[in-house]
Amino acid sequence: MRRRGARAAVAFVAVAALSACGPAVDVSQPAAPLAGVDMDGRHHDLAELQGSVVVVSVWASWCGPCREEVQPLSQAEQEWGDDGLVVLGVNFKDHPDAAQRFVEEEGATFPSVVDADGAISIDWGVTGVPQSFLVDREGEIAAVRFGPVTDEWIADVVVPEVQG
Amino acid sequence: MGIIGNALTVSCGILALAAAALWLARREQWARLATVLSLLAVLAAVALMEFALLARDTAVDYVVKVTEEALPAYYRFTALWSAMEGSLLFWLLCLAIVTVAFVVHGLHRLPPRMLGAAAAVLCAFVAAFAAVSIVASPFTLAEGSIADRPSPLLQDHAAMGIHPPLLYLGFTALAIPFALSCAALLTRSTGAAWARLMRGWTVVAWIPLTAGILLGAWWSYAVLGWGGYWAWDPVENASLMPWLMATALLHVTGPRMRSAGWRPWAIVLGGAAFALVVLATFLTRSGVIQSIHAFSVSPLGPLLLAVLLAAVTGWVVLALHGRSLFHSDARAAVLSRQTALQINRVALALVTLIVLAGSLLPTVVLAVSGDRLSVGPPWYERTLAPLAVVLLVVMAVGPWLRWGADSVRSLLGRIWLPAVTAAATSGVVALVVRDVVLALAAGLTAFVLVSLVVGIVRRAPGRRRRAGALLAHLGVAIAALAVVGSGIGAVTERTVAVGQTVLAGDTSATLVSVDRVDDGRRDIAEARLLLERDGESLGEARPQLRWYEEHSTMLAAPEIRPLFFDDVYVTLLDFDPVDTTATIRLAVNPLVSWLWVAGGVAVAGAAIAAWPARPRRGGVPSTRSTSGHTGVPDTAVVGAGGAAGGAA
Amino acid sequence: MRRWAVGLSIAGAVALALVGILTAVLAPNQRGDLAREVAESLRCPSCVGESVADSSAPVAAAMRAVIDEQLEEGRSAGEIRAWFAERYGTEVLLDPSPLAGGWLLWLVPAVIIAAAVILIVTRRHRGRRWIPLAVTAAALAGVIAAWAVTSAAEPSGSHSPTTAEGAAPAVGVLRDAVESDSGDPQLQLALARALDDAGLLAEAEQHYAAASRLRPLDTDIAYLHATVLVRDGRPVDAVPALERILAIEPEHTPALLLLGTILWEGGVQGGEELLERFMELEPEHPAATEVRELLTEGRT
Repeated sequence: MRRRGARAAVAFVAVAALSACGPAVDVSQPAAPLAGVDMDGRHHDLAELQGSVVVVSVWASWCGPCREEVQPLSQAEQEWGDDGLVVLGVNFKDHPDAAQRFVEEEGATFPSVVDADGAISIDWGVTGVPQSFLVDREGEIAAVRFGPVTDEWIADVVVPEVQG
Repeated sequence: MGIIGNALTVSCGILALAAAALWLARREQWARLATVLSLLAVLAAVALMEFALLARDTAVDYVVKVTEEALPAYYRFTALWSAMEGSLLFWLLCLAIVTVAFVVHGLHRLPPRMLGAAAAVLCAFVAAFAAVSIVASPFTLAEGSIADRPSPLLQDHAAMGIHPPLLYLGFTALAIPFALSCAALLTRSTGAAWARLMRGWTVVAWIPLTAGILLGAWWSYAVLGWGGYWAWDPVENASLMPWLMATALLHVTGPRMRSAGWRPWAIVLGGAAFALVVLATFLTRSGVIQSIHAFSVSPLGPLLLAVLLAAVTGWVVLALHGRSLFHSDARAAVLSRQTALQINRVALALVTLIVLAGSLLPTVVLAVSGDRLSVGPPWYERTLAPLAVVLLVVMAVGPWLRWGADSVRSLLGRIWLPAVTAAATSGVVALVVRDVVLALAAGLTAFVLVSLVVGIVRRAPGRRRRAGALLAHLGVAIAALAVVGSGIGAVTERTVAVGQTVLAGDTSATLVSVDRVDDGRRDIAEARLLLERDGESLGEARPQLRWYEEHSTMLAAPEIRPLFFDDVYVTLLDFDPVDTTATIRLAVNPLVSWLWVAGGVAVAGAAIAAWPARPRRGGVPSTRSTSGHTGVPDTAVVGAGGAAGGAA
Repeated sequence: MRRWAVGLSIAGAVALALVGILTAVLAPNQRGDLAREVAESLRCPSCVGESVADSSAPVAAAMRAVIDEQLEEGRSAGEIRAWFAERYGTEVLLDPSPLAGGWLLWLVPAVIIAAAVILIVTRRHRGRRWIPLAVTAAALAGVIAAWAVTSAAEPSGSHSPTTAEGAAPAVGVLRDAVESDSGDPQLQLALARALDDAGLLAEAEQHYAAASRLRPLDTDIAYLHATVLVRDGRPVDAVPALERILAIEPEHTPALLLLGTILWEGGVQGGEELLERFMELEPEHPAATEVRELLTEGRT
């Protein structure tokens, strides 16, 4: 009885110590299909982008932090586009006008597939917006980013994938 | 001001520590003085903080953290317990009040050694929580913690002024059964006075706990917008476990129930109830468990864990010291009141253990193997349902069982009236509603109701207390009925334009308009809808969405139209001011309002049963020889001879 | 006599209970539809302690839509849960099955219950070893059977896709409301729009007119009023309303377009002027090309 108590106490302490760790990320599994029409009516399909490194970024105009990542993403595409980096947005459950305004205000240069009912994002396992996925040249998910994409993330995670 | 507040808290801790030592040293006069002074110190600290809050004295960090310019005075007052630091101070105040109440009430009722031991334990807790309150002092906040503002949810509903104080009162009052448990183990003795106080203080804790938990359920039902009242959230569970223990304790310590091994049960349950309270405090304030009720992560975790471990270890050491109390003869006939009571406490203990397992398993598994698990309502419902059925059946039939050996034949002869009513009710409800579980729950309620009527009508000694206890049982039965009924609802979620209708079951809501108002503190969108059922108008509903700019938080304010058999529950989920469309969630929730009535009935029943008798005789009227034979259901919740009155 | 009455009442009550319970058992399950049950068994990944069914978070709404879609495709509740577990991990399941990593959650309660039963029964029947074992086994079997039944019963709910309801009930409700309070412009407007949706244009027009009288400065209502008149084949009657809009808001482009077209087609003076003003204000408007054609056509 007392030994069990001691073990429970150890578990408690361990729990208290570990409570700060972040969500586990499942990496290197094939990316889910992503095909659809962007806000200007052009068709995009991730399957056709095999051979490129793709950052898939899920965003919505009603999400405040999403504004922070437009700049880093647009810049990264301009800088590394020639080396095979493609940025493909997914506009999650949004009002078309509001999304259009968002793109204009933030000056997004990358296209975004419209995911009006959210089905594509759910298929990708999106837990909240913004959330981004790094898809490697073989079409596998190499990294997942919860929250807005930053210049650091691009430098530390995306660029090595592009160069490697 | 911050220095004075901290000094008061520190002096409360030192005085309480001194009081604990003095109680153990049996210097009673001085001990009493120190105990009362420690209360006065924390009272002064709380008064100081309340003054700062009401005057919005921005020199105090905590005031800046929890209040804002436009906050009404009521929510400034309640802001004391809206963030962690203040809530710990308030907790300390409740504990100190309970300690003094116990000492004053127990002074001439308990043997001095017993009183001293129990008071010493209580004072030690006051000292421990004073230390906690100094580390997380609301007078001098740690850097950076000012930014974590409390959710506007806590500044938006009148229940904020009642729900937390009730729970704090109930939780802290459970420290007394713990202290009494320790005192019994230390002195290796119990006795009639001990049992009376144990019971009385358990009732004093049980009533506000029951009311507080149900008020919390009602609050979440009324504001969260999804129409549920219980989410099996780890923190909700943390408040449920002490309640379950207190309920079991009520059924162990009644004078008439002291049979079949009651003493070890009373001692263990008394210890477990408050240990679970401290565990709850630890869980809500350490950041170990994610929950909407949890305060943000803090360095308090280890300190509270230390308090928890000290309390549990101390109790275990005392239990080894006083292990002679655990020997008892638990034998009773299989069909007897004793067995019913035993099933009751075992089942309640099992429910508590399973809830504890469900609350802690995900965290433990994560720590041990790194796997993430979720435990949600479906798990609790499935796992606890068999035990709930056992508890409810025993609750209904138990009061009809005789002490000592009973026989099936004689039992059937006594319970035919409620049984027939129950069967008929089940049949009718099943024919009308076509739901088996609901029909059975209705039958159970009818059974308890008839038992209550019989208990009131038939004259027998101890009638008032018996009726009170049966009334409390009726409350539980109605609550079970409401819980079962609330599962058969209809929900529809739809985006509609003005002039369009949402339909759920036979109830419809037609959108008339969407308006926007800004009241300075928040930006409110309000949908105006016409409710209708079977061609009858049910009036208008005006659910709102409130945007709190300062907190960047959106809160729903659903509109609830309570009818006799169900609630029409309308939530505004989203709106589009350009197209004047609104996304409306329309739900019909059967019997939910019965749950609030049930809570009132149960609390009233417990109060009636436990209200101290006029001091005709010191003891309790003995009805044991008569009740079983006159065919009167008898829950024998016979009260505490004055504990409740003294403390209330 | 009394015994007889008691016996009869018992027999009657038992019969009633049996008939009632049997009908209820045979009746179709009304405990919600399957979509809601599946949603209730999934955790909302972006919330704290909320299920997908109860959360208002956008991700939860999207997940509900996916559940609906998959049910319509004929997938079972278990398949849908597995689909989500594959994407969101086992932690998305609020009641993981023993095979999906939740074995501990099934084992722990069973062990707790078994331990309690063994403890009690051995204390009661010291000496006879088989009794505690038998009772424990029976109790456990009962509990596990209850779990199995409740788990197995779960997918029996029906799934009825949420169909869009017609405007018919709305019209009735709103008519009643307008009758009792005809001075409420919001009610008048809502009724007008409901009638408009239902295709009852003539009646809708009356209520737009009423709403417009109550809120003379509201150009949105006036514009709706005008359009319903046009659709009802009475464009000329729409002129006063449109003129009022332009008096309040001279740059109200939809009113410029509509009034200009009506006047132009009626051959009345001023139509061309209005249409030109519209083109100035909205050169990019999709209707602008048509207007341009109309104007050039007129000139030739």
